[in-house]
Amino acid sequence: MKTTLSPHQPLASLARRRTIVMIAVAGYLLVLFALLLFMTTRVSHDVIVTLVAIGVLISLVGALPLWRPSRLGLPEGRDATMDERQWQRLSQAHVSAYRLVGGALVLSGAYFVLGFPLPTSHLLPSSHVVGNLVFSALMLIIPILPTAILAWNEPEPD
Amino acid sequence: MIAKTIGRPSPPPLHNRLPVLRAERGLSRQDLATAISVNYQTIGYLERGEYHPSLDLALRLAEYFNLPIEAIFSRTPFSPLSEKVYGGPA
Repeated sequence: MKTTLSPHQPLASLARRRTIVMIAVAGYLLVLFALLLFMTTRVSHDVIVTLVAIGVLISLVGALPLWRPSRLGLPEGRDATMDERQWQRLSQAHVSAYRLVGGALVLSGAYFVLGFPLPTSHLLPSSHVVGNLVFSALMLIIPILPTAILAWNEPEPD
Repeated sequence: MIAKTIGRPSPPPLHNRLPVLRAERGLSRQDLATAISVNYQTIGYLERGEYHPSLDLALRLAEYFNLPIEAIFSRTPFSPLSEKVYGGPA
């Protein structure tokens, strides 16, 4: 399996990569916090929408390099540019991401199945809008999750 | 095989002579990486024993250095070259 590898960007420092991942997670957590406020308090919708918009913006803009992993010196998943070690690392990251998303879906499924019949709970979504927002926020993080895991775990370059 | 895996016992260490062989030939990691068609970071991981090569990659390295695989990789630590050549420290 001899391939010709294209020129590549040097691997970014571990600190920089982890900072980018933390920015993405912070934006996502802000979205979730806004949703929690929406569900549990009577904060105005304008505040909630603003918080969600800021969270989404932080996740999108702050984590922009995670959408193009090659800018951080990470593999992008195109076979002509990757060697066997990179394939293995990327595969492991995908497995970890799959487990995380699977776990999150099982938990959210249990929440919706077990939570909806309880009329007194304050932590239940009050409308389909909230459910849609939760899944929209998840959609933001799922595509970059394998790259985020790889960026977090790949050791410091020489 | 990635040497550092989470939740699984690490495989036994795989020692190598890559840094010595590379230094003997005056090669940078980038040079060696280009010669055997891997990413230059992979050479660093190989040299530090953080990545265990596939048989294919090990054969490519052996072919490149014109040495048997066991001269490059070993389960037991390699003895220093000075010891081999001069029969040990004076």
